Amino acid sequence: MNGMKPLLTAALISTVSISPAMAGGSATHFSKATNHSVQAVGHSAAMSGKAVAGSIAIPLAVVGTVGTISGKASNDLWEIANQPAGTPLPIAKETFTTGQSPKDALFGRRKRR
Amino acid sequence: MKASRLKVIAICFVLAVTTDASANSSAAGVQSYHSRAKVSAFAKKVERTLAKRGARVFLISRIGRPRSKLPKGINYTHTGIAVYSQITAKNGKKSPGYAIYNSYQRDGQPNVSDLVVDFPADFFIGAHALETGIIIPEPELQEKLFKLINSDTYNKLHNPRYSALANPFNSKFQNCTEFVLDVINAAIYKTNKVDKIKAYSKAYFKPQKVRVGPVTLLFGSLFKPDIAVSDHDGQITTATFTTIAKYMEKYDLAQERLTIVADN
Repeated sequence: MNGMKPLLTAALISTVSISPAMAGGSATHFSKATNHSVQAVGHSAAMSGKAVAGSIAIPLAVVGTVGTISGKASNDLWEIANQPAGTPLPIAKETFTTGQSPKDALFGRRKRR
Repeated sequence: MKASRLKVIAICFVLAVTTDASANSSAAGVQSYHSRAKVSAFAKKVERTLAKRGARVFLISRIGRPRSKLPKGINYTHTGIAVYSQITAKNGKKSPGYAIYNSYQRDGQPNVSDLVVDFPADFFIGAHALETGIIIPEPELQEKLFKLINSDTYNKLHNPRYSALANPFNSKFQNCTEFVLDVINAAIYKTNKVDKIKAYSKAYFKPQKVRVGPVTLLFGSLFKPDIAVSDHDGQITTATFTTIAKYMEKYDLAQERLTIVADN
């Protein structure tokens, strides 16, 4: 036991200190917080615009890319995105959030337990 | 007496590890270190900075833990790929912005990951420091990444078996950053063959050595489901934002690398 105590203590300290790099790394954080942010940030719209729940994101082409996606985006944005590489792009004033927890985003609200 | 001491230590150990895990990987236990308004303003600053440079596709990272607690050589805890997009709000309005493509640990099941698309304000909501490392790929690579993300290959490259210490040279486990590396190499080499992608990574990519002791690894792998070491043979190495940046810079794949911090 006397030999084991320091071993366990060392393991405890070191495990707690190494895990974050990775464990917390790619964890989803928005969940409930995002739901709050939709409301809370809206009160401080002057700082960065209202938070708006974005429902669909359609990638806009980079130069030279063609495909079926082009038909789904508005013509104006499509033309802007297809300007020569490096051309500055417009960004909406609004702040978008998914407004959903990862679970909801993945499975839909109906399957939420 | 000896048995009770051991029991107390064991309980402390489990409690500490559990606390640590829940503080970092549980969406339900969201730790917001900054006000929503500040996160939102920072996210918009990031978007505007990249839009001004005309970036259609870029790599984006965040710091999910206190820097002081990160192992040497690891500066960011998560990496995703941002794509310039048309975002449709629920009221139907279409606006330009960036959507971020991520491999995230599953809430309540941290040894499993899912592909999730979110927005910058979501991405940074749990960040410990409002700072991000950005890599803008060369335009040719942006185009290839764009095509790949919009193809079936993107989903095929995802391995849901998550390990924080995943070995980037095999496909037993995968973490968020390794997924990004796989996407990059699949785009460059125009392949969806995982074995080929891993072979190219092994030939050209230099991963980060993770300096942790064997006892730590033993206990980590025993008590934390998202830490596995069975995919390693000897030195633990993994992909990080920084090692991907070095890889891209070495082979002229990056147009620009920058760090963006929140305004005071």
